This record gives sequence, structure tokens and C-alpha cells, in this order.
Amino acid sequence: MLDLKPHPALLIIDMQNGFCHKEGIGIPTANARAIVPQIQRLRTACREHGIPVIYARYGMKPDYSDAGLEFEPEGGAEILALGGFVRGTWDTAILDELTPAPDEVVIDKNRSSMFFGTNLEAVLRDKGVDHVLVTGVASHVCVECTARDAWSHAFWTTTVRDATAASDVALHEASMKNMQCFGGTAGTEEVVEAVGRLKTRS
Amino acid sequence: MVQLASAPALVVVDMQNGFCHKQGTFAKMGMQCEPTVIVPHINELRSAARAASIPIFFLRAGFNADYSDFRGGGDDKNPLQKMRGFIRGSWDADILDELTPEPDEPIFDKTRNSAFFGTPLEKTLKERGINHLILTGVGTDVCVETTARDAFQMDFDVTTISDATGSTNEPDHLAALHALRRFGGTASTAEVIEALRKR
Repeated sequence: MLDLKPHPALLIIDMQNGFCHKEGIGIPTANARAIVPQIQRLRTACREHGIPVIYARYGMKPDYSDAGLEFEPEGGAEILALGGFVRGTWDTAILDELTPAPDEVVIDKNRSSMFFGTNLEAVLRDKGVDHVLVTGVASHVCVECTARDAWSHAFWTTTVRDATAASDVALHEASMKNMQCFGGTAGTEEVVEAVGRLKTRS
Repeated sequence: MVQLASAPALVVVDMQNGFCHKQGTFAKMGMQCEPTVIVPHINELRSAARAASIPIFFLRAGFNADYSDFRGGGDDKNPLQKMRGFIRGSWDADILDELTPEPDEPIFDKTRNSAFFGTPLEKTLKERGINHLILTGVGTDVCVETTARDAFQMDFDVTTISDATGSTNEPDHLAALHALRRFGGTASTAEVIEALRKR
């Protein structure tokens, strides 16, 4: 049975059109879309208990001057040629089904980790968060970098294994195995049940 | 063939008694990172790096005797803490004898997985104009991989050396190498030595 620390936060990573929408920009998206119901379920449960929901949104400047090495790996050149993932464009918008509410935080990032070059750590400390629930895409890239960093920053960390995805299932499975060293994993229903046992935050 | 950027450095992560020696903490927990293959390859890379005037850095994981600098301030239920493993200055935290750093090979002490977290490594590398890290050491999937992921996000080119890194078991080592294709990729010791010789 999963036990949550008293003050968790839900992280929803990169659930954006470019990574998830059926039309997308050429990256396979079926596995990413398949986790949307689980993320919605987690979001509903967290909101009911006053648990903060924080989104990551990956995107670059139009001239890609802030992109570093992000487009060096395989497939990157094609995305660059399409002008993909420029902040403010359709690709970077969060999926309609998960549109952030006004009281939900959105963190813009231009690297894999939600902590890298962002104020996420400050936001979490400010809210007194002691446990992060990690969801979104891609399991072995942005999700895993974020989980590794959360663990190093001494947040209790639970990656929700059926609420994260990668287009390559083997990479997803290997990533979930890695997470054993960075706080471990749980299923959506386990997390919802654990949230239900928490004292509701006002 | 591996391409090295203009200013590479060799980084040796956590090749310590506690992880690798048969009497170290990890061996006592049944998780020794077997060094037999890795150590000679690291030493070959060190020789090649010296010959090419490439800097070499060592990382060493270690904690205060009361584990107050362990993530979260320590936890007396943590097996590592119960066994008093990796206390800074202890034999367990020392670098393996076969790899004893030379005076011109700086050692950075760390208390987290990444070589960058809470260490002067990034500053040192940038001050010296280094733009490519050649990563060796243990564990491929934990401290090496976290370091590679961080280095890549910091815009360093990164190459993790497939036969100069290791984990507690082979499947996890191979899975890490596979994932690292996304964070700079991998190469063998021989490939890197050839690339260093051509500089």
C-alpha cells in the first residue's frame, strides 16, 4: 500500500499537442494519449483534496537560441526543420482535455527536467510540498530526469507508472525499473486511494 | 566512430571501495559493482587522456559521520546508513587503490547522485572551457546516468563509455546505455582512445 507524505503535489509533464495530439508533429503519440484518462483521474482526486497540480510545458524561443543540445538526438533535426516546439505555438499548448485551471501552476522549461532552469523547487518549497507524484511524457526522458532531480532535492518521489508513457514500451519499462532508485512507482488507483486517506488541505 | 568536441575531459564517477570492492558496503548488501573489466579500461583512458593533455576529474560519494548531509538529512532505516557505509574519509569511501588519483587529477566530493549537485564541477568545467565529458565509473544507471543527463541539459557533449562503466547487474547496465542514446550516446574504450590519439 502506498503512503503519501502529508503535502504532496501532482506534476503533469509535457502533455502537449506536439507530444500527444493525434495530428501531432510527426512524433508517435498513441501511447501518450492513452494515459490521459489516468492523469485526469489523478488531477480530479488531487483537486478534491486541495493538492496542488503543477504542469510542465516544454518549448523554445523562435530562434532556438535557448535549445542547447535538445535537437541533437535522433529525430531532433526533423522537428527543428518543422519549426516545432516554439513557445506559444500549437505544438507547445497543453492538450485541451488537460487545460490548466487558473489556480494550477504552469512551469515553462526548455530542457528535460522540470527543475532545470525553472523555479519549480522554489514553488514546491513555498507550498510546503514534501512528496511529488510524477506523471506525463516521456517516461525515460522528461519524466525520469524530473524524478531523479526531485529525489536529489529530497522530495519523496512517486512516479505513476500507468500515467507516464513513451512511444517505445521497452524504454518505458526500463525507466520504471530505474525509478526504484528514485522513490519508486505506483499505479493510478493506488495513488488515488492514498490521496483519499490524506487529511484534506484547506 | 566517436566524435570528440574541441575540449573534452575524462570523468571517473564513484570508483570507490564501497561500490566496487568485495569487502565494501555494496558487496555486503549483495550488490557489488564488479570492477574487473572497468578498472583496466579506465586506466587505459587515463593514459590516453594524459598523452592528449586532456584533464581528468574524479568524483567521490561520501557523507558526514552522522549522515546529516545525506539527502533529507539521513534516515536511520536506510540500509547504507545502518551499515555505516560511505562515510567521508573512511576506507569504504576511498577510491580503489588501482585508480588512485594523481596530484593533478582533482577529486570532487558529492552527496547526491549527480556529479554536479552541490559540487563545483560545472563551474570548474566552464572556467576551463571544457565542452565534452567522457564518462566512466559506476553505477551506469544511477550516478553515471544522472551525471550524463545533467551534463547534456547543461549543453556539454557527453559520451558514456560502455565498457568502462558498470552497475550492480548487467541488464540494468545495458538498459542504461540504451537510454543514454538520448543523452549524448555511448562509445567503447577503444573508440575513444582512437579518437584521442588522432587529436
